[in-house]
Amino acid sequence: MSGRRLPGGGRIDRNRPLNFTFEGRPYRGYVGDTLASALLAAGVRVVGRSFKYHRPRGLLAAGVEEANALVQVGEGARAEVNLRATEVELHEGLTARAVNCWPSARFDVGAVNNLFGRLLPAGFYYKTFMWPDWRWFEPVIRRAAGLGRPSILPDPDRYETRHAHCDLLVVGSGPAGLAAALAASRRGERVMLVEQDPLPGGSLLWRPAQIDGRSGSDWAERAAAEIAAAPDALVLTRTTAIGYFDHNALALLERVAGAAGSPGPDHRPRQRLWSVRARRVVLAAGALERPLVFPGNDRPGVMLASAVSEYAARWAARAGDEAVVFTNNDSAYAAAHALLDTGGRVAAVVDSRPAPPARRTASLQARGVRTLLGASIVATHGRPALTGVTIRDAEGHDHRVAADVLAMSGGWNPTVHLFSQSGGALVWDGEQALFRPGRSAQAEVSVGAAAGEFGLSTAIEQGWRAGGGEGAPPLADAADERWTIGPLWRVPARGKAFVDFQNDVTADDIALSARENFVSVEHLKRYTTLGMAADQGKTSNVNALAIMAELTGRPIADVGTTRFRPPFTPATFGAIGGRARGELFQPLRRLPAHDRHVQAGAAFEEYGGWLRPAHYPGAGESAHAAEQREALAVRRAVGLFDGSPLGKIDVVGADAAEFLDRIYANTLSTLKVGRARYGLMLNEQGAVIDDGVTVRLAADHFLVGTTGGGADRIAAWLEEWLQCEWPDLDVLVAPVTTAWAVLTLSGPKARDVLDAAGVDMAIGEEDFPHMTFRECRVAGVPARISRVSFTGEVSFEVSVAADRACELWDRLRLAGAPFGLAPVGIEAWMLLRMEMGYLHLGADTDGATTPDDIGWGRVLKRRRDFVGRRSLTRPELLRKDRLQFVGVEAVDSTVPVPVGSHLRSPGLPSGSEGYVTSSGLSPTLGRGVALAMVRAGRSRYGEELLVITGEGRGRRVRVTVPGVRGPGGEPLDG
Amino acid sequence: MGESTALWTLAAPGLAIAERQTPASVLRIRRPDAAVIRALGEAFGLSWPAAPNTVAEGAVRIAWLAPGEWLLFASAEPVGEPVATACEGWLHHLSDVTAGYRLWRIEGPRSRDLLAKGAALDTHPRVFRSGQCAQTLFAKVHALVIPDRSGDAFDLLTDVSFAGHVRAWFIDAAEEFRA
Repeated sequence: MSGRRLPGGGRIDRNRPLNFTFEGRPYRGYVGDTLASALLAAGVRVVGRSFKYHRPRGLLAAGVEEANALVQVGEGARAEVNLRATEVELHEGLTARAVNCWPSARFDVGAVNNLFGRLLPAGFYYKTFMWPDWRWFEPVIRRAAGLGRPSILPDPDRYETRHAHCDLLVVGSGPAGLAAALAASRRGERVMLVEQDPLPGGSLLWRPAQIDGRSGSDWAERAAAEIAAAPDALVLTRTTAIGYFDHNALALLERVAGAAGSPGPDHRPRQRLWSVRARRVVLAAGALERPLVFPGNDRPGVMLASAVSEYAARWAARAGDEAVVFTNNDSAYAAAHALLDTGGRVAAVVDSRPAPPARRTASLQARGVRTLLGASIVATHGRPALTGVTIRDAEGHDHRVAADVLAMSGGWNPTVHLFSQSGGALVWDGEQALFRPGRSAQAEVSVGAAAGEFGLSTAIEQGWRAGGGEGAPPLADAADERWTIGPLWRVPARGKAFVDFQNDVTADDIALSARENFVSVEHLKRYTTLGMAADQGKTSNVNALAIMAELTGRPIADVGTTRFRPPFTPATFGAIGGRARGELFQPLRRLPAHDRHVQAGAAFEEYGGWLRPAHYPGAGESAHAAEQREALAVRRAVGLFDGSPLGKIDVVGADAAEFLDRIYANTLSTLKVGRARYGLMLNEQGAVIDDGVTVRLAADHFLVGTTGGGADRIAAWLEEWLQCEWPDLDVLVAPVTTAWAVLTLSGPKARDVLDAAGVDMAIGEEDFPHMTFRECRVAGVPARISRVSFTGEVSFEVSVAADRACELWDRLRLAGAPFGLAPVGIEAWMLLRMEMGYLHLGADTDGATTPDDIGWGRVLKRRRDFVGRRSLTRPELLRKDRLQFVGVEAVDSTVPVPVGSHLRSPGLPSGSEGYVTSSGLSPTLGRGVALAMVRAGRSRYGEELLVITGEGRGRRVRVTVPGVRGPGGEPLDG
Repeated sequence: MGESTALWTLAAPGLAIAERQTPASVLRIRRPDAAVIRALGEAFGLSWPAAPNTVAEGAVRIAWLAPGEWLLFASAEPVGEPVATACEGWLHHLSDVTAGYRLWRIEGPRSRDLLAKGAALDTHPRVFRSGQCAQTLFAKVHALVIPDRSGDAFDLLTDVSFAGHVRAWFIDAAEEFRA
């Protein structure tokens, strides 16, 4: 038996016992326990295995810095890996096991690595396993490494993300943080106080203190309650500030109370990620104790001295019966007193300093404790856990002393992680042997232990001032005592002395790194993996760089630290993703007649950010069959297509025509009122960025049509040119895309259907020819009709107000029923334009396609300038062997050639000469039709090419003009 | 401005959401000066919201959208004439976008918590009050947000094509407020 529960005291509820299992064995703890405190109180000494050598490990710490006790909590879909047992709140039925060991922490097969440690020095995988091939060894080593096995089942829990704003964000609710938040909340400020523990108070939860005449923990509870009650203040416990970014933006990870680990569906989120913008930030994150580096310092039973005190005071769990204390500073003496006060024995206090403050040693000697000065511990004994230590005294004599707990203290590190992330510069404090915050980079101030100020009165005072407190701060009853340290960075003795417990990096590894000239901290980190574990080196970084400083004879300040990176503690992907999953992952636009498409049995897919009908399969009909049937309906009767996403932008003003002449590669100013024209837009590089049909409503009013996916982008593009380049033009641009629904009738019977639906104007071919535009009423609905066609059939593109789309849909379907009207989805629509050889921007083109590549070179040979024109004369764009837009037809069979197939002349030995951009089975012809981009394609009509990739590999195709119905791809007139 | 019937509603403790169609038009004026602003104010009987991110309430509610661009909570028909008169001699354009938007009324003590889940905007009454408006990303889509005089209520205007998405987002977001 080692650790035990004390008969009284602690912040646990002894009336509420909890049952839990660790490594399959049942244990009991109490409400208020962490998994770590309950295990310690139950006498469990081995809580895990180390990462590389699989050495047995026990609890090192009591808080967030714990490096050894990584556990997996829960089973199945809710299993969560790599939690620190010190941060896992105990609850009824909790199941936990150690990570990185098999079959158990006490008996682990991987421990064989420890025997071959000589073969596994730092960077071993760069050296040892390079011959014959690293890939032979990689799977084995990867499996042996790694921490925990995450669940591969879908996460059943909910996660939230939210924003918040405040005047003052206080990180840490110890005495300094509480004082800051209290002062600011009394001034009526918007305050957020963040505490990673379930309880506010920080060190006041376990360190004896008196503030304003109350016990420290009592004062903390009242202060937190007062802050929480203020109208604009928020106290968040179980919440860790994990990142500090520019503009005082911080990320907080909240473990939502009650929801954690509780089984069954729950509408509360399990975790919540807060994104906070604060006017000012107070960092009161306290300090973390450093381990000492000596041989065998990782044996279960060797703990941080402050953890020994904290377990005893907060959880009434005494770490052992027979203790030795090893320190280089004053604070470990408190642990000796805590052990004595709780009925333990202290065999010896080993202080590496020859002359520590006399009052420290005297206070222990008065209680009968032996103090050895100028001494150190050179070995630990016991298997698997500590039974004794070897002390080397000032004269160099070794003494073996029995002990089941060794409390060590190597000094303190202010928790400067967030400060460093904020961009602040650290300074080395030689007197206290620590890095503390120096110059701030943002509106931020560090206070208390986080600033390297360990006195209670000073911490409260600093916090109070940082919170804007006026008058006297809360008063600590005892005066601050001076704290001293005599650095001891490593004990010079043989044996594995661990620096980074989580990544198994030893003092010897650092020496090896130095010998191989990896002396920069950044190189040291990457060469040895020091500080790269899940704990980000919370207990190891400063020890490591101090040892490196010793080895290379440099001052510690010159060695410096690696940059601290977010997150401070690991965050789940669930919390980062929040609710942005499933249908909320990406906002999709819905068509105005969405419900009608649902009723018509549409199968929806996403196209350019819109949820659109791909096709309308009937009962038992395949997607392919539906697409073929719909395309045939357009060729033989009439189809109804929802083209609402087509971009619609009003361009008005006296200079509207001039503006569009500059924007479009082709001329728009010559367009007559009431007529429509197809246009191409280029970017400055001469690449085609959009196309569409523009109509002229009046001399000074155009309605610009864009592709469905380009509506927002092109509206912004027009505004940019107007505002930045041509502010002199008298033009206004007004995007109106989603206010209008567009339903297109297409097919030989289209005119009949429109007629039957009722239209208040003449729509005969002479009255209303191809490429014209009219405003009228269709079935009583005010409408705009464009006579444009993307199918080659007679088409009427009918636009109505979006909220009348369903009405028009119903009327057209009713009117069309006798004529065999079929709703047509995108897939059939694409097939129809493919048959015609009409280009589809983004499918047949990419970001480098020029107008000449798609056969527009001739059209653009005019005098006037337009966006992209000058780029078209660059030598690269004038090359004769550029990819050009062509049709291809299969020579060997009627089966379509797959899209993406690369093509090459049979005479060439290698390389690609182009690829298929669009392909499908033409229902009219009963064979495949395809479009492609082919090198110098327009000069190769009739030439046969070989398909060299994909499913169609080995097939032969012939280069043709694009399209199989119209001559030269010209639109058919209806 | 009469309240039209809600197309969809959601209620949870401390929270009520209603989706409506709202009459809306966007007025654009090229390089407006003080004279045309004054003329518009007179025509509508209010102080025209010339300052960025402000709202004026008269017979018609008007929100500033961008330099020379305003949203009028009215269809184009009733406001076409006063606008044309006030903007005489100025290049301007009034487009009726009634069918292009949806208005979401969010009210109740939980309304700010709900908004904070979808937008980075600070909606605290000290910084975002009646008379102000803001455009922001809400639930990943562009939204115009207008705080109501009553304090705990907000109007959100989003594109009608995102109505299905926004509705699904609200249902999911209100889940944690369930009793």
